[in-house]
Amino acid sequence: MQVIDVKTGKALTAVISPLRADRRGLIRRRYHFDWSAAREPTVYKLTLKGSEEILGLVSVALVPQEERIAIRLLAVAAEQVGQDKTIGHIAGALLAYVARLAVRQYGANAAISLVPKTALRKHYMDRYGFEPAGSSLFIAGVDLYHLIEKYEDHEG
Amino acid sequence: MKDKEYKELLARHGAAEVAAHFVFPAEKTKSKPADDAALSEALRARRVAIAPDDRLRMDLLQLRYQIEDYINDSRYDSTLSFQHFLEAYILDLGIKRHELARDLSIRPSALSQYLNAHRLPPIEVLVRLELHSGQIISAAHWYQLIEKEKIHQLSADRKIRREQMPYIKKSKYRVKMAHG
Repeated sequence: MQVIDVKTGKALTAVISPLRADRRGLIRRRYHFDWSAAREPTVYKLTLKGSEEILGLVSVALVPQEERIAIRLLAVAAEQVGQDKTIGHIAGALLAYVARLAVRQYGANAAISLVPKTALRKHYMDRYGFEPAGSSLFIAGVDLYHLIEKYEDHEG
Repeated sequence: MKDKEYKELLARHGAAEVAAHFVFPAEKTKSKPADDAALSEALRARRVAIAPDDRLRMDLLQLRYQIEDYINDSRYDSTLSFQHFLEAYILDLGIKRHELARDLSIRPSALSQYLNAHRLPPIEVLVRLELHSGQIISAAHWYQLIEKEKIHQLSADRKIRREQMPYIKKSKYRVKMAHG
């Protein structure tokens, strides 16, 4: 996946990998949620290639009977939110990674979903292409590919 | 995150910016059976409506991601061979082996040899596979699968090391050969 250097607009290669369970208790202050509540291997961290610094986290749960992956939590590092951020597209890259996990697992039937806060619902739809279903939002089928393609690292 | 912190974020950054950086835990009151049913129904309707071409494209993407993850995994798994993924490719396409051989302009016996690991395909055939998949699975993907297998064989081959040891007249290092 790739993220963006906000200052230069240059694409940067991001590495997304499972977060070790023993690191989850240390990071509430910068990453907003209690990540220790999530069970392995469902928490993934995003770092820049060659760096250890965690820029964002996502927690997911597989729902095999519906061939979808539910996004439980997602947060970008505190300093990468707002006008002073230096790296952009962190959340998009994490969502695209979850989309890729879903396609890898479920093929054409794959879907990702989340249950939004009411005030944010429309913004998830506008920004990432989620569609409404009851109180949930989802992306399915070829639309997952469009999300993946947008954030995929084309440099390899 | 407490509701108070969420509201502070909302007040400081606005809803669009918060949605661009966070997904919050679902509110307990929101998880109603009717809502779960609405999502299930929406997904069911979406899947029924997938065009055959889109379904094939997504299934080939699934295969590509499986190949990529295996290539990038440092571990070797003898079951995830070039032959395994080529068989999966044929299954995804829903065609017979001889039909793929015809599509690639190769003899059915040659394809059988590739699938039975009796012979490795030349790079021309790997490029034909790439073109045949609409470039979803590249020749490099197929090549890297073969390469991973070869690297494992080279690393694990003790016999060739024993055979080659007599040719080393002088070594800077004292290396003990493993027996086995």
